[in-house]
Amino acid sequence: MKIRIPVVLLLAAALCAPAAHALKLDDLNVDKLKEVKGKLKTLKEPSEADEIEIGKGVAANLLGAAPPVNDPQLQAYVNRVGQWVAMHTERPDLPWHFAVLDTDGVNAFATPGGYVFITRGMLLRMRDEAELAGVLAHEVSHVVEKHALKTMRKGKLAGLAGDTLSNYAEKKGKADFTKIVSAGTEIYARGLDKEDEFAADRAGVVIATRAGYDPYGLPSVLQTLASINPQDDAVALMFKTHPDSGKRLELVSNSMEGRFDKFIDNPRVRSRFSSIIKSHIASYKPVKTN
Amino acid sequence: MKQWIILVSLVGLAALIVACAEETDTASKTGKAPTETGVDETRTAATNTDTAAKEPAATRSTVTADRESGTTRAAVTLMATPHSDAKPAGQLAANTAVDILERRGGWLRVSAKGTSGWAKLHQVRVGEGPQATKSGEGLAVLKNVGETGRSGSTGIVATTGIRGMSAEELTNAKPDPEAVKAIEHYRVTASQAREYAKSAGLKEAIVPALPKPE
Repeated sequence: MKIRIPVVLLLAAALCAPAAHALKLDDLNVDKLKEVKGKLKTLKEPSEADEIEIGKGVAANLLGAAPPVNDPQLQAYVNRVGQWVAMHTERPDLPWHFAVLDTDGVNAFATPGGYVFITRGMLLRMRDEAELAGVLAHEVSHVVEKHALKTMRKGKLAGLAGDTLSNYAEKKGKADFTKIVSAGTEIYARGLDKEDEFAADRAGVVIATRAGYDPYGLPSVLQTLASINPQDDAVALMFKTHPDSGKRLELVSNSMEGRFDKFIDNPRVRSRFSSIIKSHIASYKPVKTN
Repeated sequence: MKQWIILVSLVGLAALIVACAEETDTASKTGKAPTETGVDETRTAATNTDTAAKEPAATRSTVTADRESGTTRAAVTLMATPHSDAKPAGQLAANTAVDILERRGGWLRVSAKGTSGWAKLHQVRVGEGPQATKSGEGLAVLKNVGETGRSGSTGIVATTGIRGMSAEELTNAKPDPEAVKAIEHYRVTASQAREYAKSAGLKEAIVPALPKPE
C-alpha cells in the first residue's frame, strides 16, 4: 500500500508532463515549428520518369490554351535546333520536345521533363536562328535546373502543399498528381522566381554558345522585347511573368562582358531561318479553336 | 406628365453617356482593359516609351524589309569600334531615330544625322519604332501587320492570327493530350540534330558557366 501511492503520483506526474509541454508549444509559434519540422523531413525527389509524367500533364494544359501550329516543316525545324541546343546541357538524354504554339502572344515556356514551347508571335519577331537557339537555350535551362519543380516545393501555389511533390514521388497518388499538374500550370500564369529567370538568361547564352551559335542571340531577343510597347496585349502575360526585359538585357550583357569576344563571329544562321519562316507564312492557316 | 418622363429619361441618358465616356477615357489612358492588373515592371518601361512617343511623326523613319531602324533610349556616346575602350565617334541625344547598319556581338552600328558609330544593344530601342511604342497603339500596329502584310520589326509578312494567351486562358485551359501526342511526333534524334547543325557550320565549343553576379 505504501508503495502504490508514489506510483500513482508518478503516473500523474508523467501525465502532466506532456500537458506542460503542450502549453509551452502553445506559447511558441506552432506554425513555425511545423515549418521547421517539414524542412527537417527528408523530401523524396521525383524520379526522371515522374518529372516527365508531370511535364506531360502540364504540356497538355498549355496546348489546351494554345494549339500547336499546323506546319510540320516548322515544327521539325524547331525540334532540330532545340535538340541540338539541349545536347549541350547537363541533361542531353531527356526526351526533349519542342513546339511552336499558334498564338500571337509573345512568350516561351518549358515544363518539367523537357517539353519546350515557343509562341508563333515570338518566332515572327526573331531575326535569325541564333536568336531562336538563345530563347530555346533559356527554356531548356529552366528544365535542366528544375526551376518549376523548385517553385512547386515552395508551397505558395494554390492547392499545392510544399510536400505534395515528395508525397507523389513516394506514393504515386493520383490525387497528388492532379494537384501537381494543375498548380504546375499556374506557374506559367504567375512566373518563376526572378533570380531563376536571370540565371536562365546566363545559362541560355552559355548553352547556345556551346552549340556553336553567336552568343548574342538571346540578348538580341531581349532587346526586341524591351522595344515592344508594354501595353501591347501580345506581351501582357510575358511581361507579367518575367522581370523587365531591359533589366534582363543589362544584367546578362554585364555578365558576358569580355568573356565571349572570341565567339562573336559564330554563325547567326540567318538564311535558313528566313527561308523556313517565309515558307511558313506563305502556307499559314490558323488552327481552329472552339 | 409626358414632358416630365421625357426630361427624366433624357437626364438619365446623358448621365449614362458621361459614365461611358469616363470609362473609355480611363481605358485609353492606361491602354488596358479595366480588368487587367497593373505590373510595376511594365510601368517603368511605359514611362520610357511615353517619352519616345512624343517625337513628331515627321522624324519617324520608314521600316523596310532589310534595314532596321531604332531610337536611342537615352543620350549615347557612339564608339569608333565595337569595344568599350574604343575612341568616341560622336554623340546622339535621347530619342534620336537611327538606322541600324550592322550587328556585331553586343553592339549595333548605327547612323543618324550624319554621325555613325557603335552603340550597345541596351542603348537602342529597335523594331517597331516610336510609332509602335505610343501607348495603346501596339494592337493597331498588329492590325496593320494583318492589313499590309508587313511587320514593322523584321519585315516578315504576317497575317492576323490568334490573339495572345492570357493568364486566365492558361489556368482555365482544358487539357489536350492529343496535341501532346501530335507534337511528340516531331521529335528528332541526336544524330539528325547533329547533321543539321553541321550543315549550318555550327562548331561546338567548351564554354564555362557564367557565375552569378555579386
